[in-house]
Amino acid sequence: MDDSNGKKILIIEDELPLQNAMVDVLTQHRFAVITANDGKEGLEKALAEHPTLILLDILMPKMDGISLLEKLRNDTWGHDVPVIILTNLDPDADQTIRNILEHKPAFYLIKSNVTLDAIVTKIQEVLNM
Amino acid sequence: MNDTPADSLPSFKRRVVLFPEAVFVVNTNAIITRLDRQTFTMFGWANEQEIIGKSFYDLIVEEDIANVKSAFQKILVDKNIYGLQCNAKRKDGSYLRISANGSVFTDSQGVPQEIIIVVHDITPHLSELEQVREAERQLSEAQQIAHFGSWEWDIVSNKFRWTDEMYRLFSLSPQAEVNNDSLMAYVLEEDREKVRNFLSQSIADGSSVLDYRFVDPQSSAIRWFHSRSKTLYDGNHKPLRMVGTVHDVTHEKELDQVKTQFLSLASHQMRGPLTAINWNAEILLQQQTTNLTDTQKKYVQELYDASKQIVRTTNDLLTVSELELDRMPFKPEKLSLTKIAKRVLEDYDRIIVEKKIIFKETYSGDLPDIETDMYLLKTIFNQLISNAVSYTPPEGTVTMTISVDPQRTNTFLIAIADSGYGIPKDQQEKVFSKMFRANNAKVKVMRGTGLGLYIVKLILKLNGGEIWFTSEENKGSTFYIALPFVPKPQKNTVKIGA
Repeated sequence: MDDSNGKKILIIEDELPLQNAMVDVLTQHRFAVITANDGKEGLEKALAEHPTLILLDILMPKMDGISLLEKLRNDTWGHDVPVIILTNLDPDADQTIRNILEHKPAFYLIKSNVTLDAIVTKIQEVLNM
Repeated sequence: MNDTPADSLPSFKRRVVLFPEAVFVVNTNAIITRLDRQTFTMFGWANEQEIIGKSFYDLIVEEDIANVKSAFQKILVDKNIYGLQCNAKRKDGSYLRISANGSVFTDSQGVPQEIIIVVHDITPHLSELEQVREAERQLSEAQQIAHFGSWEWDIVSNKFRWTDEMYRLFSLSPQAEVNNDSLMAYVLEEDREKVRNFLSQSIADGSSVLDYRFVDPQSSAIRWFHSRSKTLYDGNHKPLRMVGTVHDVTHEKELDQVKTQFLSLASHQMRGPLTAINWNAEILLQQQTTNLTDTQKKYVQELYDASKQIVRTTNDLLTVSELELDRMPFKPEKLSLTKIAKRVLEDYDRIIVEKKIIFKETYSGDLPDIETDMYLLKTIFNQLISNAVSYTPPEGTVTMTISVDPQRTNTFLIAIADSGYGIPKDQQEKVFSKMFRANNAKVKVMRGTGLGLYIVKLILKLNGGEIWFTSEENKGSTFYIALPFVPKPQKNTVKIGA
């Protein structure tokens, strides 16, 4: 169990096929992985488990990614945790999305346009691995 | 003539019946008291009861009543014979043209008693009049149903003639004064320059078309008008008149916008499942995880490639809907055209080397900066370079030139020439339309979505630029883009429910 590289990734994503694919690949790269299926669960797990990095979807039930990010950044620990936004919304397609950039995610990636490999590379980049 | 009392009239009538005229006798208030049988034939009455006691003016068409009344007064006062021509109405509503002569009969004291009016039917002119009237009425009805008005501008005297529907379209009373300046006040401010250009272009080129927005003076609602014009000149090419139409197309524009929003929504929805396909295919293809045989990998690769093609198409569809809905953000910054071109070109280094394509760049020195949105500029270069490189066979040549356009003020000219497959002549006019790929392109190159050039054309339209090309099958194509130094974004959306 513990041949992990010591980094814990929290995946907050409501579409299970996507969540599962990310879990498989990240586990393969020896990250420890926890998951949440909606924004409310995601915020709770983030504050409870303090992951090394968060992969965050935008369109989710119970609480969307933007509201989550806003609340997260108000927390002392949450203020600085690296967040990569993984969404299928176009940037700037929605006025609200422009607001996210105020809350400083490390990257904004469009899921349908990136490979899992590219996501892993980004994570490694952000964590200086 | 002056002394005939009423009861000697029957003998008068008997004499007169031999003539083709009709005779009316009216009192001093123009009420018909007697008439001969010829009037029945002329006006279509069955008997006297239908008309005796009615006013003579009831027989006359509205526009001519004033004249007849004044003639009547002249007869009463001057006691002379007086005649005129006018239009009258038969019992069935059809028109006839009459020549009427009236003279007054007074009593022994000279007090007017009655007037005899002799009427000739001079209708041969009338069928034309009736036809014209009827045609006008039908036109007016048709225009009202279609929300379509027509206008005429006498340029020399600066007078306007509008059909009824024009006044309705502009929410003006039919008595309102109409001229170009007063109308400009109702045009949405952003569209006023376009309207001015429409008029001057019509004078210069002979005709013009324009869509613009009109602000209703009563409700402040915004409506879209589609306007067309044609200019008429004299022998020295001096403009004399402009004729044109205005069509309220607000509904059509709203429908178009709803369709585009639907397209945007549908395309977004597709991204989730497409991501699932792509990521799972990616995992399957990783040797260490799944150990697929080469054959199995081949099939999975086909699935993956096909799925990526759908992603490219949906991305392009989303770009198209954002452009059409005017939701494409436009953040202008000062950029070097050459630097952006080179940066985009880097993405194609690998394929250029693979295909052994000779790519030449000719950039003028001293080019000023362009002030525009970087994403849109990159999209333009991306599409042109991608097309040139994709549709040129191995060892072909592509040349990209950036300079100042010698034929336009303050405009760049970008040209990209390839020695590729070219576009067949019979397909050239469709090149910029949606989902178009030439027949020879589809055979040679798998990847295109058919939307790329349409997107570039939309981007340029929104920025005041232009794109055109020359091409010969199996020789190559050259695409030209004219881009103003400071492209101005022009909005073209309508807010639904305004």
